[in-house]
Amino acid sequence: MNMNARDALEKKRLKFAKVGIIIGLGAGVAYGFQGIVLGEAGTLSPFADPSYGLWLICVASLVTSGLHEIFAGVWALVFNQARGTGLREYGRLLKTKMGWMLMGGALVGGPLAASAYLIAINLCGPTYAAAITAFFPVIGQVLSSIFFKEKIKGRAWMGILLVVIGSLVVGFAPPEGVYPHFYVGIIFAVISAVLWAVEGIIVTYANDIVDAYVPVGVFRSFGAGIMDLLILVPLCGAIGGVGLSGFGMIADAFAAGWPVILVAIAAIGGAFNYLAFYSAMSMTGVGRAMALDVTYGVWSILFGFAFQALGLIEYSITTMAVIGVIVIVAGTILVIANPKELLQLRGGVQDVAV
Amino acid sequence: MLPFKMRLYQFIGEAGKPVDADYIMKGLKDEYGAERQFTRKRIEYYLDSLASVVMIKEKDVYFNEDGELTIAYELTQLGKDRLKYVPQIG
Repeated sequence: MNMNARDALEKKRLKFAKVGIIIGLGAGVAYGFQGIVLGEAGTLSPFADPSYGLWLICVASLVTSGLHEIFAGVWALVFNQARGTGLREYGRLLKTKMGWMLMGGALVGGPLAASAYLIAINLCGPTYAAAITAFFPVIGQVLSSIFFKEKIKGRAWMGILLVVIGSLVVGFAPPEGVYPHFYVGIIFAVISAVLWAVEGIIVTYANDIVDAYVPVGVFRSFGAGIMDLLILVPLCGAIGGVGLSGFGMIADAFAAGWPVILVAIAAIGGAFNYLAFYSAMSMTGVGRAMALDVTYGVWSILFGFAFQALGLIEYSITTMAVIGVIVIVAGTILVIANPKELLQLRGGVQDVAV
Repeated sequence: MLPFKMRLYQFIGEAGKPVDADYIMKGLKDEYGAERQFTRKRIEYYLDSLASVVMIKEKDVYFNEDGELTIAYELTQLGKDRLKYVPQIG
């Protein structure tokens, strides 16, 4: 290989990694949007009612989550059909071992983690749920260092830690009066963070030889939504003693119209996040993709203020949250600051012709 | 049939020698040639993503007679190990 070809190859690899960073940031923007819109849907009847106790709030959250995943699956299918990786590729993936491994990851990330996140949103508010779940890059990075021998240098580690600290600062103090189960929500947010990190590891392992966008459509959206609505909703209802009230909520939500429309709009952000996040993990590494995705806490605040300014929602946030956001942004810059470090995502031998 | 990217990865393993995007296009045309996803750009995207996760490695890099950067790939040891997850053809 002559020097010009070597230089051209390095530029090509760098460009690919940089695109992965942009896609990862896009995932964060989309999820910030999704959280605010879904949080607003969660304040409307039948998803919310002053008479609801903790268990009905959980059931309502799972219903919202399930409907959101189904709608996200529709948007992802539209995207996949347009790029030629639609239903035919879905069917092919379903017949492979890797496909079912991805199903396992989707189970963890969808019905379990995303549902815990939705419950957290409804119990402690979207920005606070987003802030606490921002922990998941650290867990993800530790796991990927073990399983994939992924290299992360000191500066990027510092960045990930800053992101986490910033998120904890954001979530430190509850907003006044609005969320009586605030700290239960924080616990669900922590659970969600752990499960999302595990999803990242499972998915990255299986995603290496599969087009990242296809499992999003098959498992992460439709599969997760079906599991949410057919398994978790009745299960939660049975445990909480509220029976099959979740199915009544679905019927009431469609009858009301606007709550379902809001969920479908939020699902545009959800679908974009899943597609972008899965893709970014294999383009820029699990830890970096997670650190970029976690900026959804920042975007959640910006979208919250923007929608309030437009008169669409009521939005409140503490000064500590704003400080936390600044720390998150600083951490993210540290994570992505030197793209050349992205060229070799993992350890192990990598020969290049000389 | 396998998902396209999975088949592409398997094809690199079957080739027994370093292969580039042109070789892959010729080799898989009978299987996927009629599908909209079967484009050189898509194949190059899949090769880039397989390389970035060290499933394949560049064995030779040069400019062809049209001045295009041409990269020949082969499986890494990690790529060979993961073949066990791909169904065998035939």
